[in-house]
Amino acid sequence: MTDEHPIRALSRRRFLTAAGVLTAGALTLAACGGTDDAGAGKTATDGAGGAAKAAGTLTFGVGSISDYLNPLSTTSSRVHWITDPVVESLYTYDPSLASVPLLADGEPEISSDGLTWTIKLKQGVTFHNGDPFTAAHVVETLTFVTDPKSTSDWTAYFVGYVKKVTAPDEHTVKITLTTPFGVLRSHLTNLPIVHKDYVRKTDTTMGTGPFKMDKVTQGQQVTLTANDAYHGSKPELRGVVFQAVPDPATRLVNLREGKIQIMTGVSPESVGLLKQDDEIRVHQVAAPTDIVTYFNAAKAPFDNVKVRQALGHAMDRKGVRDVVYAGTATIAQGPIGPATEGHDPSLQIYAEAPDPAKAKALLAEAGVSSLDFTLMITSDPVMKNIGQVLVEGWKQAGITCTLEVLDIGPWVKKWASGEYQMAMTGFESGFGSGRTAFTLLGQMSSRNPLNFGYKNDEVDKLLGEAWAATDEAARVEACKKIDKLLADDAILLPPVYPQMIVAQRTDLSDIDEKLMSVSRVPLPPLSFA
Amino acid sequence: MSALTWTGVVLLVLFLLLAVFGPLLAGDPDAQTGQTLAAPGMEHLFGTDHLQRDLFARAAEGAQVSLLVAVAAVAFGLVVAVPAGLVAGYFGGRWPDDLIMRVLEALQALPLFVFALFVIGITGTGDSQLGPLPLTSTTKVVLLLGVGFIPYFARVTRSAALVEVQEDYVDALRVIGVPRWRVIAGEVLVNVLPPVLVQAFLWLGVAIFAESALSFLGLGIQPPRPSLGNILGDATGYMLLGAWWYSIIPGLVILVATVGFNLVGDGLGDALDAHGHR
Repeated sequence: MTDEHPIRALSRRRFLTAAGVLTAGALTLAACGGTDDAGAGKTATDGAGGAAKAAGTLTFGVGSISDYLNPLSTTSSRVHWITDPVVESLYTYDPSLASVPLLADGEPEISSDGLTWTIKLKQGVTFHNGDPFTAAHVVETLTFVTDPKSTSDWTAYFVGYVKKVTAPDEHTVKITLTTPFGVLRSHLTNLPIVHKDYVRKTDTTMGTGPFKMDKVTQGQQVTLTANDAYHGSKPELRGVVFQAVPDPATRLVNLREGKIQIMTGVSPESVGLLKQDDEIRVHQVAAPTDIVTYFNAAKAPFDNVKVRQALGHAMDRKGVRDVVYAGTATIAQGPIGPATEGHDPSLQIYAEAPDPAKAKALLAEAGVSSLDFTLMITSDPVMKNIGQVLVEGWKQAGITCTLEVLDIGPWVKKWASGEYQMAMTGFESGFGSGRTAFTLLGQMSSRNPLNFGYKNDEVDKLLGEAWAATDEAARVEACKKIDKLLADDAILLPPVYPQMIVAQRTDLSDIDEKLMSVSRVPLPPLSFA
Repeated sequence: MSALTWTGVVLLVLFLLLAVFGPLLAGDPDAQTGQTLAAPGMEHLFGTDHLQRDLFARAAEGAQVSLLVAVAAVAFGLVVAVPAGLVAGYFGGRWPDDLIMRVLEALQALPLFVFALFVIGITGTGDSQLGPLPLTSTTKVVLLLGVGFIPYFARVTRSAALVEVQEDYVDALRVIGVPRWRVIAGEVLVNVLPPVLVQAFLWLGVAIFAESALSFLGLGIQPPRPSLGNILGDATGYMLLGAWWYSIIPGLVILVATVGFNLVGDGLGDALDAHGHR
């Protein structure tokens, strides 16, 4: 006989062990979660908040801190919010968002055929390590972003347009183009100029800006300190600490407790609560924080424009606005939102609420008796919410949609190879495209490798015109026409245009909302009361 | 029966009522009611969630999904583990026993949760393909938990079978010429089953807990299909907005289910021990 009964030996103790292991597993995962909403209970330390504030240091709470801290490797806001005070561009935005010279000395000189841009550089500017700012750095930066092998987000902005970049002398840069490319002015207003030795580094950067990179604790914290040798007006703040607080709810508590003074990624539901707090100011600004939807138009059923239109008419835009965004977003028609050139507020194709009758009629015309498809979304909680509301809306028109939730890595992989029927994600383009719709619309060109099966000759022609135009008004006009064509063809169907929502404590001077509409959170002008 | 067991029975009955009859009473768990984060009241017994859905309907549907996943996972574990444990126990100490037990120990060396995370990390949370078989995210969770349970069930079966083969009736059956497999699949199995089933019952609680943990992390049951874990996961962002019920309700249901299964399972174990065949 065995000395212990199997049941007794294995019952409660085993259960508790198993429960303990499971709980520990869940906690470990949550604590090291790199994604935005892993639910971690990490809070900013007191040292980073109150005491630092007295010394003129601002603490900025962000969802995550990327391991990449080179603004040339990506156009993502996550990276650029941190590097924006460190690096500067040839041109910058004035208070009315017009492009004005910053590191360039005056307007560019453009040859009559539009193929050569000559830019004089400002003299007497130094990098943070004391090196003088010269043409060599600009050439190195531009050469990097025009090289397809760089695998940088920026290459999409230059490759195929820029032939070569040279320095006729130490303070002049000459850009030779393959075709007239007026939108280059916008790109040069957004592209940061980095010290030539730092162009290929991934985990840090060096520029000429009012703050310099100081201490980096990978994935957790980045400290910037004021640059006393700055060539422009010097900032009042002595430093900025970017603190990763992955959980939005924790970030919110940190802000209310004053451990952080600014937070991005405020959830729309919490806006009401924050507005009741006298010590908090909430900024809600129309910005290029787009929801992008893609169809694989090379394959049935979405190769048929009527099927896509049916989906567009049965889309619950109102539900997304009211339920997911607590009324803070605007109902969308075409792909171009209110913060971007070419937005047409008078465009009215789709109703706010789903129109099942119209959708069914279109499906019948297309000869599709029942529509059943998969929508591939990223695992961001907002995307999951939008997905669930859309599924319910389509159900009213008898359309069955299954959600496929993927992490950003696998999502991009499938999206880039066209392995989807319909795909949706969030996309912030302000740091790359500024006010232009360059990346948003660029993909609809029939020559773009990420476009699967959509070809409209009129769109192709207008895209060429839009990017060639040096005149902003001409570009806006062309984009407006493209927006309508894409909306009619139901190929890019955002349900709403969301706002960028940033909250700050009132003991800090106000963030410039105008610049928020190009995704910036300008820190150098801020000061404590 | 002890007071503790009675408590367990009450909790378990509550959970089963919710999981079995709740979805029949409540409406569509995906329907939008027009009220965002409404507090529990007469209209919505458990309140509503951030997408205006009725939480009673979602909790009931979620309880049903979680229960089905747990039952399926435990059943899968048993189907594989019981024959393996029987064979190992019958040949206690000889090579079939060694072979089976070493394989199971290797499996057990991986903690259940880490194992599940590992597999989901590779295959992704969406649908995948296992050879010719399409696997939905739900079946994937069932299989993963089931595989994780195999070593535990097999060990219980083995130790019970080890005791059983010492009994005189086994020798008697062999002497009168009953084939070995019939002794194992017949008499030994019947006598081994009670402790194994009690163990399985206890593990239903663990399975609900494990499924909830996976879904809480977004790796288990995928939206819009509710499960207790993914409701709780969604709810975490709304606690500070005052929506206490949103977290409390799925949390309570998980608590009721796991404690219920645990106490009743323990009670069953005690009963078997007191009136056991020995």
